[in-house]
Amino acid sequence: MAAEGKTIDALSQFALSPIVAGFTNSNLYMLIAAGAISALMILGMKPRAMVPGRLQSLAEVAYEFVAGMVKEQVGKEGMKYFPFVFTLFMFILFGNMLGMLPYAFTFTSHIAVTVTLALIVFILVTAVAIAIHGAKFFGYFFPEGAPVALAPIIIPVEIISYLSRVVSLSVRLFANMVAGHVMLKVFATFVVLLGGLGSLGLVGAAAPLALNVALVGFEFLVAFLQAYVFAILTCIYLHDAVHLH
Amino acid sequence: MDDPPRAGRPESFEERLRAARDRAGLDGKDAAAGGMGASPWGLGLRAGLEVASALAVGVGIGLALDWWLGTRPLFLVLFLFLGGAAGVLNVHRLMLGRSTRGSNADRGK
Repeated sequence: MAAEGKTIDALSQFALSPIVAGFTNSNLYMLIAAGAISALMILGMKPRAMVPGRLQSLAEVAYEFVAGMVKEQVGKEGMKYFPFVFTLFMFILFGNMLGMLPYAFTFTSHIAVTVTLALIVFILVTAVAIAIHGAKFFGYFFPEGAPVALAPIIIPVEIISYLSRVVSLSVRLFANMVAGHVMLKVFATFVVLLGGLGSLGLVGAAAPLALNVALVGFEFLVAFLQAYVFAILTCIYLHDAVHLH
Repeated sequence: MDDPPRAGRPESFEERLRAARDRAGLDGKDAAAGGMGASPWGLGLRAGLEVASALAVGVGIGLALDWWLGTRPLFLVLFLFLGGAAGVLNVHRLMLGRSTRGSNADRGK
């Protein structure tokens, strides 16, 4: 499917295709992710067993993983932000993991989606900081004890540094997902192209195939790790907003 | 039970566990940073991304101000340097282990 015309077509996997007007395959996979998360939590916790079954274990592990992360990074008082971080983490995790299924679409591979998620985090964190600290929040951009003469340099630098969170947060997730899926597609195309070369090619095709097997495993790691990194950075920013150093 | 508290070692179990984890390197700087950038390659990519994103924001603000005030390229040049400085600041905070300016003092909170 990838080797039409003996070229490597690595980017068509990210193309949006409308299902109904204005509703694309990206939206469809977002709905599937939301549905799968709800199903995992609702069906998983239904037995409420003392000794959890497999699904309940999964739901409990996910809950405790995020709860531990929020408690460790933000502190006890940060638990009121737990629902937000948990939703964010599960949505990104399921988006990344659904993308690993054959023929599936990875909605986290679109910068529009990751920027939206990063902006939600950024606006929420800023709103929390202003709600808790009021005007003192703006002292964040000028550290105490710094010489006042340096203010024209320090304040713009701090503001740029603060705004760059949105860019780095969204680009990191987007770039990791795109790079991984492009690599998978490129090496998969090598298998097809080399396989078309006859008997010698079949032997040669084994190398990219073996590499692709390793890459699939690596991509599952990246899929989890990027969801984790996004969530933990959200927690670190929340910590900044709550404690305001 | 098999390790009764000896004289001269009055620490609690928690303290001894923490000491053992420290010796084994389980609670190192990487663990505090959430295991991010555990490899030199990953750390390099993260640092590069921090610089690049701060530069992008700086250039964006500079271009926007120029477009608004019609002073191109005054603010572009100014904010290019400010963006670079913000990028270095971001990497500095990354290397401290946390993005907060409180460094390690707030780990106990």
